[in-house]
Amino acid sequence: MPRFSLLVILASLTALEVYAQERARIDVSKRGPQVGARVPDFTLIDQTGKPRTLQSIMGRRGAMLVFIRSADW
Amino acid sequence: MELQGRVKDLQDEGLGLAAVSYDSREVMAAFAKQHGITFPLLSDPGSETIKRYGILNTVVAEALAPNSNDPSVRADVQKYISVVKPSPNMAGMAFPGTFVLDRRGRVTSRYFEDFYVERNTVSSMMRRLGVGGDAVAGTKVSSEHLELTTYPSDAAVAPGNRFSIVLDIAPKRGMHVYAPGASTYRVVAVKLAEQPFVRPLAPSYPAAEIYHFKPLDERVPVYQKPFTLVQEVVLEGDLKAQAAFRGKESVTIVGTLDYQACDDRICYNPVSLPLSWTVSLRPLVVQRPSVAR
Repeated sequence: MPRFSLLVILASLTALEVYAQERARIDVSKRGPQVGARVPDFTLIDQTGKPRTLQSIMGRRGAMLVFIRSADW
Repeated sequence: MELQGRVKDLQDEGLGLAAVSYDSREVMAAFAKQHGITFPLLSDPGSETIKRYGILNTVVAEALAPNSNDPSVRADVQKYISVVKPSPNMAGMAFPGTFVLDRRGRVTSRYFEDFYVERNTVSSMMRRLGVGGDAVAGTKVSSEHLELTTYPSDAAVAPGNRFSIVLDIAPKRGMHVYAPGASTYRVVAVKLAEQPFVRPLAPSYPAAEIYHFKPLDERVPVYQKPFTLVQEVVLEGDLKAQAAFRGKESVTIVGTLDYQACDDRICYNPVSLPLSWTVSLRPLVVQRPSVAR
């Protein structure tokens, strides 16, 4: 039984450690497609109700795709 | 919204433009109407696309979870979400940022900031892409050794914006100035006077050429052809900074361009050219569109 509790404690300590590591690791520069990678395609509705894809927003050289937090607050 | 004013510049550069958020189409339509937005505002209400791009703001879920009192979660909430209490309707939002894509959808550059109020201005991003007209009139300065034209990337900025101070420098005939790595000469550098809520980032230097000074058989990195220095600046966007900038119409940044110039015979005394740049202040857009989510 004591051995079992020790295991449980060890397991929770490990879980805590993993959690602490997870916490420390926010780095937005590492999130999402990096330079050179291709971004996923999408079909999304614009403000007029028209469906848009990656292809449909392209200019002759490419596009600037801006992710914003919200238009609402 | 700053982006709308840049649609034409981006078009001229052959770049399309779209913005994505997790708002409903109704919110987007109201926002577009309110701010006269003509480029596509794409609605991703279930955050499916945001998740597929891997840029879902995961701090929101943590802030709303039982461990929200963990000090590290609280610190991240302030940084990545809001200085006020986050609310459940924030779940699903993206980390804000910009991808510049080529025709085939490959990322050619990307701009993501850690602190949520900080944004790169479009002109500043375009400057670093090496495209975009000079929308802002430059100040011209002529010294004995060089011609300088300098201007901010944006005529107007908001708290939290990251913009650039650009210096186009043309050494006069036969002159060169020193690039980083030249140890015994004064390297050309922009020095900004310290000022509250204005934070200069590391300057970016173009590649130098090696100059062979025969009399001393010395090889040093220099610039002798026209070159451009870009000094990025962040206007702080936290609440203190917002309070300090409130009611002000502009910000003036003061500094110097320091350099030492030599020709093939003489090395002139180091020079410090006094300079200043004024940008208008725009308020942050905080007014919400009048529509229910």
